[in-house]
Amino acid sequence: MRKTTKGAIAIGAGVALLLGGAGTLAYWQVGTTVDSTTGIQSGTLSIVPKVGATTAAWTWGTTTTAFDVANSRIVPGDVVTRTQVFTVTARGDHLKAEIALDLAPAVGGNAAMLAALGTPVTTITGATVTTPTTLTSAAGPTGTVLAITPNVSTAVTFDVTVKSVVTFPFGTAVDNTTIGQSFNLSGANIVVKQIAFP
Amino acid sequence: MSMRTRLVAVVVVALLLSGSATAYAAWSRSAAMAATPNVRSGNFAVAVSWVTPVPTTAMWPGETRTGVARVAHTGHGRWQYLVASATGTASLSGLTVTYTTFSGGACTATAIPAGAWSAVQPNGTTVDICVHATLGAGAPSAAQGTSSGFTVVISGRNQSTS
Repeated sequence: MRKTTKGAIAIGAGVALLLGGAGTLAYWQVGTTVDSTTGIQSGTLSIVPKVGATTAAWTWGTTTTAFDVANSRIVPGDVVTRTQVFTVTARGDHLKAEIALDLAPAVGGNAAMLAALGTPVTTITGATVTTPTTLTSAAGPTGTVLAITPNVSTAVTFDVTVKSVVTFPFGTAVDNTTIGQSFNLSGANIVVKQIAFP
Repeated sequence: MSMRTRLVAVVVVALLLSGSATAYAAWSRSAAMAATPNVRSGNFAVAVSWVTPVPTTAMWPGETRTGVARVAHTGHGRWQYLVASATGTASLSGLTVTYTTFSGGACTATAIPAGAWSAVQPNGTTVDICVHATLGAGAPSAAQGTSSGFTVVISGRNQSTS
């Protein structure tokens, strides 16, 4: 006897989405929770005036001898330096940031002084960092440009020092027009910004 | 009755980012360096006077007469002085003028070369210079009864504060 067996063998397990048919058919659904034990956090990037040194300091030449802006007087041959220290905090496993001034500080004031004074030389130096953090330095249009790469999962905090050196040259000819005059040094913003990694 | 069934197994795990057009900027922070107050330049002046003028009356050949000139600095920074060669000595034939330092209340034998800048002097100091006028031993007889007024120019210039 021939037996015709018709049967439908359904092999399947899981989730089925049923389309078609003249009626409404229910579907099976299961779900499970993706583990969310801790949030993913972003890092940190900041720069602020160093605590306890929130204003610039003036010194004679490249020494540590204080130059009293209110009472000291410069003469041809003198060099004075303006220094200000900032603290940078950076955190990010794949963070790289660049530190530079947005403008090169310039002298302003009496015309005779402007003609006599050289262009200030501005540099930015960073405190020593610990491996694997890296800190590199290069010349830029507004002075030095520092590049910091923390390379660690914890925050890196270090000081950067901005120095502008102003030279009042001792010339080869007499020029008394600069006696009893004055100049000032313009401000600027020191900017730390993220750049492409690495 | 037939049933059409479709069995579709789909497992999807996806983290979707919004497909919006918003541009996400890199991080940037800044701090300000303020402009500075005025830095002032100083002053500079030297004053020259005779402490003891050179007596040049009734000089005879071979004689040297000495006076003392004082150079005083005022103002800021350090300074130097320069004693130029005397002028006007040609009116009295055989007259020469030389300079030496003054120390310990008397003229020394240390010559000050005419026309050369001195060593750098501290701010606000005073220097005495001995001026020696000598009528040469070979002065002619025609020089008798004549007179000569000579001029000594002493200049000063500033040097750096330190």
